[in-house]
This record gives sequence, structure tokens and C-alpha cells, in this order.
Amino acid sequence: MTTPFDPDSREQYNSADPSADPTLEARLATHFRRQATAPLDGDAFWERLAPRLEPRVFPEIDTIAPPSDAPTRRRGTTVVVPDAIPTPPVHGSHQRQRASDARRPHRAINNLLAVAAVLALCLSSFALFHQLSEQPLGKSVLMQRGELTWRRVTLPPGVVLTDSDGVSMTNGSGTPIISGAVKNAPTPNATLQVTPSNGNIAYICQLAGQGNPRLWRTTDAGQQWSPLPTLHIIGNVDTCFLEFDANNPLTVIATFVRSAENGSAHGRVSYVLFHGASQWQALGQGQLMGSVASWRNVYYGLGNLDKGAPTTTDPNGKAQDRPQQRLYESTDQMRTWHELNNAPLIAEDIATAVQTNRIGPNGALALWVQPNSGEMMTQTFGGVLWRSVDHGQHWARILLPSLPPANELTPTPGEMLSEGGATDAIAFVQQPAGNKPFTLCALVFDQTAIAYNVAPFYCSIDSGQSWTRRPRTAVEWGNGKPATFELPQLMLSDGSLLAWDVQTLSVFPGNNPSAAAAHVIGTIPTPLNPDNIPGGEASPIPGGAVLWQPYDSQTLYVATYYSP
Amino acid sequence: MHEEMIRRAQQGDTAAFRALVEAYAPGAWRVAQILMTDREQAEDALQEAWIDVWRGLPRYDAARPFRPWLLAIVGNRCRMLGRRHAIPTQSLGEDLADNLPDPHDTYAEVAAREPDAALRDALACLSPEARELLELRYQAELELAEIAELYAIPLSTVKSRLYRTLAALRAQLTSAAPAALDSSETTR
Repeated sequence: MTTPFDPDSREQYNSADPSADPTLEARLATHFRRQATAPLDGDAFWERLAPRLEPRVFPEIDTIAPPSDAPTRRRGTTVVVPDAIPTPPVHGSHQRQRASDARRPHRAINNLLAVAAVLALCLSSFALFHQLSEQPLGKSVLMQRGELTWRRVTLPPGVVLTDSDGVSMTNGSGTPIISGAVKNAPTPNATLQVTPSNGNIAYICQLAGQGNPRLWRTTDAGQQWSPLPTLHIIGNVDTCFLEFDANNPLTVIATFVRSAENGSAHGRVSYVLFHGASQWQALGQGQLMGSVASWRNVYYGLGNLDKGAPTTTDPNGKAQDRPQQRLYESTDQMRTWHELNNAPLIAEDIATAVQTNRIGPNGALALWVQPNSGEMMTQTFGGVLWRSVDHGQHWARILLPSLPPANELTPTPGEMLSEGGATDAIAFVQQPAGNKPFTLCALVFDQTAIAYNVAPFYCSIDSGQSWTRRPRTAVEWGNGKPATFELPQLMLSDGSLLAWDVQTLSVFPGNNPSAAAAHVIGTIPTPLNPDNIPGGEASPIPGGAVLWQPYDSQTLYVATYYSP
Repeated sequence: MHEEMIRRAQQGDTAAFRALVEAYAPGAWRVAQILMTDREQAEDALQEAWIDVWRGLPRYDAARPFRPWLLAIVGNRCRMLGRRHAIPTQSLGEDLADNLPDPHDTYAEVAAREPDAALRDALACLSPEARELLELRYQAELELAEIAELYAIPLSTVKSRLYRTLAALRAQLTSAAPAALDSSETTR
């Protein structure tokens, strides 16, 4: 029998000490083992954790630069493009120049007065501090803020991205523009879609002939792909559409079109995999919703579930190929959707609506829902924005600022922007986060066609209730070519705007008053087939954006950019 | 093997980081559950801790053992979250106490599953801090040095606290033995 503890002893307890009480310790271990609680679900835990990790470091591998004779075609707005793509400016070079300037007065004044010397010393210290603060944060392999380095993504096994371009395109709200996959691997069999609200999260939908489709997800910008639970679909499918909850991009909705009924709404089957769920949930046939975004347990989306709805005509009287998109709400986990009839976005008399409300032939084009307040924003024809603060029951059109006087519309020297056709505005909506109102920016256009329209630029941080005019700076190419304004494509979380074309990526100050002037941040990998230039994608992440660019059907590049 | 995972995770390799999470999360999870009363809060704290780890990895000295460093971060996060979720307590008045559900049945059910009732009762007499220390040692199976890092206190303090706790527990077991016997005879 042991007497392990002497209460009067001043010796400290040592579990390795043979005088310890193994009996009591064994009793305690047995006791607590019985108390053990449910283990952590590792996969679910990782899925919640991974989107919150900032991909801060990238090895300098597979970095590629476009050839100097690459084509200069671009999508969208016509912009004067230089003959040669300039080398991106080295980050921090301007700051280092300023630091050396600051040392000059130090040397001069130091020879005059002691007081001035002290001042110079202060300046020198400041300059040194400033210079040190611009030094790289670590080794050269670390990615710096403001820099852009491409890396090649390893695709999941067996995945051959559809189209020679290797990627499907989505519009700003995640709705696929080009989709469709070809059955019978190893021909291209998969589409890639990046979630519109988190550039780190992307999905691949892989179709395998008669087999069940396979879906893959990455939450770290393609560094690792995880298979989603198997979907058992009877029959052959050859088209896959993916949609995401913009406020929780780990919730994915997959819609498949069966081959036998290709092109028919009756051939569609939809499933949703909620964040953290282990199984897909079947949805009703043909429930293809776009711009899905949740607020608490309510889901909102754009679509048209009325199969018999006539297509509407555009302002020129031309019939459209699809019914006008309407606004829907689901309160039962997307099992059923009901239309928000009170929304003024839906106008049966579209000809009148275009004149009065700028609804447009396609109805609502995009939808955003503030994840905490539930405030809603939607965009219709011509960049017109609408706001609802009562969960879609009533909508108010956001009034854009008026055009400034004509003498303020003198273009920046060398700046040229040509827009085909007159529109109200080109609006940019920041992905809502936190509990803040929407941040918006808009290029406001005259209603008359102007060859070189110098659209003024405004931003708002209160959901469009007030606007501030912001400089519409142009990119300095640095090679003697005129500076140009690129039409931005994406607003980052700091309010700056990202623009890209076939070869170059630029950042504009937008609504970020502390941002540097507009500048080129990098070049884009040129695809294998330059005659068939694919569309890349970019989606925001906290503090920056992730850009995805295909090279060919089995080569995909990703770059992460953080605002300086 | 873990050293390589850590090195790769330091360079931003999320696959390696995931492997680290898988390797160390079970232990960290046990600790978080001990420090937090609520399972959801424990998971929140654990998630925040891993984000801290991710951010701190570039500065982490790989020569140091990883687990104590991780557990210290888990402990910090649990304390921070615990402060945020601290619920103001209210003393039970007679009216309120009368309206509480009778815990007798639940207690009896749990007691029936618990063979070492004497130890359970003795543990119940300890302070929450003392019970937490025992849970960390014997449920989460932490080394004394890890407990010291977790609480940010010297190792010698952990040893002396554990010594006193075990002594108190033993004393409680000794003094309660006749009562426990009476109790078991009554229920027979």
C-alpha cells in the first residue's frame, strides 16, 4: 500500500515521482474517459475554418509572363491599349525615392545649425523608419501586398476543363454565361466556377458520361480540392450549372440537364448542399435561381419559375430569348420559392417600364443581400440600382448624382473612353460584409451618345443615399503611351477597383481615399490559343481579390492580390 | 513528419496546414471543451485559435514544440471568448428555485451510469478551477508543462496546484467514504 501524498510535505507534486498516487490517477483517468464528449467533426471544422485563412504566402513557382507579341483584344469597353504591355512598377519604389529625398535636407542643414541638425536627425530617423517599413516582410518567396504572382493550380484527378479555354465564365453575380460540359471523358468534362463573393472558393462540376457527376470544391484558391458528397442522378447529364449562396459560398446549388431532354426545362434536376451538410438535398425540377443570397434562414434569388411566361421584348421591340428575371424568396431551405410580387422590378409592360423605371428586358440582373441587416440591393437595365430595407417588399430606386457642368467634363489629357450607346450608369457594388450599408461606385453617363464620354465617377458608402465625386484617374503605362482609364470589373473591400483585360491588371483608387494613383499591378497569363481568348474571373477576398485565368483545358492559373 | 508539415504551413501551404489541423485538433478540441462550458463556444474558440496559428506561423520558432504553443493559443482564445460570453449571474430566490425543474431523475440517471460515484461526489466538492486542472491533466492528458503554457504560469505553480488539488480530493474521498457507503446501502 502506498501513501503517496503527505499533506504536510512542501515538496511539489511530480507525476513521474514514484511517490505519486497511481491509484487515484488511474481512477481519475478512468472517470474522465467516461466523461469524454463527442469528438470534433474534422471535415466540417476544416470547411468552416478554411475560408477564413488568408493565403498570405506563395512560392515563386510557375510564374509566367505573356509574350511581348500577344494580342491586345479585350472584352467590353473600347480602350486605347498601348502597343507594348509595360512592366508593372516595382512596389515601394516611389516610397524609397521619397525616403532618399528626406535625407538631403539632413546633410545640408547639419552643417549650419545644431537645432537644424536635430531636426535633420529627426527627419533622417523618420526616413529610415519609412524605408525600413517598405522592406519586404520576409524572404523573397513571400507575396507582398500590392504584388501579383501567378501560380499554377493542380486540378482534381480526371478533370479536363471544358472548352479549349478551360473555363466557364460567370457574370458578376455568379450566373454562368458559358457552361456545358462534354460527356465521355477524357474529352473536356468539367466546368469551373468561382464563387462571386469569395475568390478563394471555387467549384468544379465534373461529368463522366453515364456515371454520376462529381463535384469538387476548393476553399484555398485551388491549392487543395475536396470531393463533395456523391450525387446519384439517373440518366445521362451533359450540362451542369452551379449557383452559390453569396453570403455563404460553402452552400452550393447544382443544376443538371439530362441529355435525353437537353434544352428542356423538364430535364432539369437541382440539388443543394448546405454548408456543413453531409448530403445533397433535392430541389424541385427547373428551380434554377441566380444571384442566390441568404439572410438568416431566408434565401433570395432571381429567376422565373413560370414556365409559361412569355418572353418580353427589348426597348427596340426585339423578342428576348428568356423571360424577365423576377425576385423570389424561400423560407424553407429552398424547397419552395415564392415571388415577391410587390417588387416594382417586375413590370409586365416592359416598354413602359423601360421609359419610366429602367427595368429592362431581363428584369433584375443581379442581387445582393447584406448578410446581417438583410438590406437588399438589385441592379436592372442600364446600371440602375434599387434598394429595399424591408426584405424585398418595397423598393426604392437609388438616385444617381446629376452630371456636373460641361466644363468639368474635360477629359484628362490622353484619357479616352468610348461607350457604345447611352446608358444611365455603370455601377459597381461592393460585396456586403459586416453590418455596414452598401458601398457603391458609379460612372454616370450622359443620355446622349458621345464619342469620348468623360463620365464622372461617384461613390457612396451609405447605400446610395449620398454620393461623393471621386477622381477618375487613368493608368500611367510608363512607356510614353497615353494614360487610359480601364473600366473596372470588381470593387475590393477597401473600395479600390480592379480592372483587367486580356493582358493587364490595373487598380484604381475608386472609393479608397488612401489608395495610390491608378496603376498596373501585373500581367495575365496568355492562353494557349490566343485566337480564342478566354475569360478569367476575379472575386473578392478580405483585403484583396483572387484572380483565376485558364491557359488550356488542363492548365489553370491563380493569382492573389492584396491591396497595399 | 510534423516538422515538415509545419515548415510547409509556414510557407502558406494550406494542405499542410490542414494536415496539422487534423493531427492536433482532437487534443486542442478536448482542451477547448474543458475551458468552455458550451460546445458551440468551444468550437468558435478553437476556430479562432487556428486562425491565430495560421497568422502566427511565419513567426513561429520551429525549434519549439508545436503542441504547447498551440494549446497556449487555444487557452488565450477560450479566455477571451469566455470574457465576452460571461453571463451575469443572479442568486436564486426561493420563488425562482421552486420553479426549477427537479434534477433528481437526471441525477439518478447519470449516477447509475457512473460507477465511481464516490470520486464523482468528491470532484463536485472541488472548486471549478481545481476540477478544470484535473480535467486538463487526466481528460485532455496534457503534460504539466503544457498546462503551464496554457495558463501562462510557471511549471512549479502547476505542480503545486495539482499537488494541493489531489491532496484535497484524496481527503474528500477519505472523509466521504462512510457517507458513500451509507448512500449505497440506502439505494439497495
